[in-house]
Amino acid sequence: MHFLKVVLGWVIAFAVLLGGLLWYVDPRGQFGGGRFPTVTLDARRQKMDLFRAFEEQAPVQGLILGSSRSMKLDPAVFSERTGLRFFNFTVDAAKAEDYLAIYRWAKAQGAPIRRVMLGLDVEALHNDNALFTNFRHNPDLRRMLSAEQGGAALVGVEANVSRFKDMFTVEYLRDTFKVVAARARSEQKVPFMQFTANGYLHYPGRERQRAAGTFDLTQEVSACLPSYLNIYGGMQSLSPQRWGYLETLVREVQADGGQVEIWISPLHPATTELLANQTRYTQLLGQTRAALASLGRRTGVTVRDYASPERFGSNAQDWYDCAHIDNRGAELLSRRLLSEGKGDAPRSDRSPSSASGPLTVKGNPNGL
Amino acid sequence: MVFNSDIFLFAFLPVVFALFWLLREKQARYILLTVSGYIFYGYWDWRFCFLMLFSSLVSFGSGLMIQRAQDQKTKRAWMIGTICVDLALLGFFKYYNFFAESLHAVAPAFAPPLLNIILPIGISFYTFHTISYVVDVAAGRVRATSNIFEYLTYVSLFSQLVAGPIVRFRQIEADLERIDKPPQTDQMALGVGFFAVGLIKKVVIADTIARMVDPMLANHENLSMLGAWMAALGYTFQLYFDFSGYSDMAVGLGYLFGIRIPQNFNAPYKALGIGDFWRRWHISLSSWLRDYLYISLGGNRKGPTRTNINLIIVMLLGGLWHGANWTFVIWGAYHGVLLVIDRALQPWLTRWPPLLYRWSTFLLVIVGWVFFRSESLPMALDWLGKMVGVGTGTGDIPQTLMVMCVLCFVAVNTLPETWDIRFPKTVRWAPVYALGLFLAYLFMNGANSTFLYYQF
Repeated sequence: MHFLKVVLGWVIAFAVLLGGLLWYVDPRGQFGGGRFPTVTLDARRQKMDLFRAFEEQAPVQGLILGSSRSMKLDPAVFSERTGLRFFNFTVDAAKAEDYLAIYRWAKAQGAPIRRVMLGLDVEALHNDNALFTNFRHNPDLRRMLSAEQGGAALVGVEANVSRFKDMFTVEYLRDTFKVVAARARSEQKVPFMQFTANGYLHYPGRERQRAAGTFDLTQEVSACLPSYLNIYGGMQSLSPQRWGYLETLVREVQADGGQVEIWISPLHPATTELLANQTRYTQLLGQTRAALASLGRRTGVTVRDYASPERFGSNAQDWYDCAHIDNRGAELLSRRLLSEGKGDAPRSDRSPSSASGPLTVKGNPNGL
Repeated sequence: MVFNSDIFLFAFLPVVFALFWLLREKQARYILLTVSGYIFYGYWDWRFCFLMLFSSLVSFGSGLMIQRAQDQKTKRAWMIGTICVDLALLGFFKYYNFFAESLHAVAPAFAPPLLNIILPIGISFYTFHTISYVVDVAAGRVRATSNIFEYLTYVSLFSQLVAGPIVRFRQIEADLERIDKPPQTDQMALGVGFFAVGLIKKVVIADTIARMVDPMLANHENLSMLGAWMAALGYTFQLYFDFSGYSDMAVGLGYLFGIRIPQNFNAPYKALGIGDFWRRWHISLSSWLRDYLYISLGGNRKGPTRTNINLIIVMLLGGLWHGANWTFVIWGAYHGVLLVIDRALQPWLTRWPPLLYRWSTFLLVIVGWVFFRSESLPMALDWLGKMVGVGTGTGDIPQTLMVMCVLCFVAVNTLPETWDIRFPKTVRWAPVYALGLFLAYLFMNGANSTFLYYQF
């Protein structure tokens, strides 16, 4: 027994030592250290901070929800067209639970939300029901679902335990070494993503490459295709639980006197083609369309299908990679969503806030 | 529950271990181990606990009846009756749909309906436990225990319940008898050592290889010739490090509770010949098949032809034991034929340079694993075809896989088997054990993996 006790004592000592190091370096920016650069961006946390500051200036009345695919939708454009003060609260790898939790959290901050614009990814209804890491680690958002998940206190504790537990992985250790080495080399890398005060996303590196004409879209698209194969490889059906979150969101916004608009978010045509050939994407998309149509009939929410770029007047060039539209694509999508009228065609990568005049949009808004 | 899960490592094991040390009475420890075994098993699906309990009670009662029987005929009747019950359960849950589907394919008019049967995890293992018990009691190799909890402990011992090794009652009877004695300090060191080595084999090596091989095989139509070989080689190492890692962990856990679980692997990829391979690979299964099936069929006592037939029958059934799929049947038949050839050519093969003999054996084993891993016969044939250059694609081969395969090849040919490691038993080595466990946990944490042999 003595031997076992000594071994366990050493295990605890190693855990404390490594845990302390990881917490201090904080390579994923989860503990607020800020002493080192971070390797990933926790959009949920960043946007919560940004939202608080934005809300302090004036009440937020409109929310753009969705995943990173909708991060390029400029709240300023929505504000200009609707007269409501919008914030883009889209977060990476958002699932249906994110939409509901974020709406409730924003409301809990005192925001009088009148309009919710939701870019729905088909995989946001993934049947695995697994919480994305950054959501799982976020006690504030997790507590917003406490009615569905059990006691709020326990959910918060579980989120924190999960955050600390997940530090002890080889990947986390590798990230720690990476940021320490970057600091040692005094590297000042251009951040991959950057949010403005209203939650709008910039890709500084990509935008510079675009401006310099060195951006390689083909390479970017092929690099991210495997991750989408991975996501859809395991998705067999729409999750009833996640569909429940979505429907609850719609009903809560409506009960609060607000308005919801939902659209199916787009994928690059190459991604759609690959997924259609190798996964159940086509069937899942069909099921999502049918379910949204039914939701629209039952609740009166506006639903649109922008699963492919031509549905909002875009094409295969308006992209940064296999799922993320660029500024031009985002402008087209925003205008179509807001059902704006006629004007000049947008220039590629023009900054949305400097966009002048309405866009030329032909055809119907592809309602379901 | 799996060994490499948080619930097992941070809740189940510490609680069971602490209670084991608090409860000093033999009977209390039997009850604790039995209850913990059923919780471990029921964590997957509690309903199947009743199936295991039924099988255990039947063999326990039968053991007592055999013990009390005055004549061989009665003993034999009890033994055969029990084996029939056990095999009926195994046959129904594991093979019913397989035979029904096969009949549907060849003679639909005679085929029974397909049923929605869930295969109870570990049924192949505990069925073999109970069969070996009644056979051993009937043969007088072991005395039937009259202590129901001692017997239930034997069948439901969580360390080897769902994926082996197949332990015979007589192998652990002495340890079960003295379970109330405190384990020696060196047993704790062995326990931690085996468990750490097993966990490292599993999460550091097997799981890393799996992450590269699985996607390749999911898209096997696109394998290049080299890719097909690398996938086969990768799986060869994955399976070995996965299953031998599990066995090491089972042995380690056994030591922590004062029970010595026998060796299940002995450097199988160093084997000289297929016969030697089966003396080194999944030893508890091959020795079970030898003692309870091959010898019962007459072994080598009825002439060379009958010996060969027996070998093929045993390997066929051994293949089928692994799963209700024609790929396993073919894998078993393949090894049966290889065993026959190996026996016939022994005088000639033994004159080969040992390294050449070893590596040709290894090559034959790799080819066999193609059937073992394939989900269907068409997949196996496609994969094998690509290995010989037929219908090859242009799929990528991860460079890490190649590096891992080279390292694993060197490791299995040079490093000692876990059982040959002389684990230091002094506390000054405790930091090394702790570091091993801690590093293994870093690899394990967050990864979602199970053991390959759970499916059998």
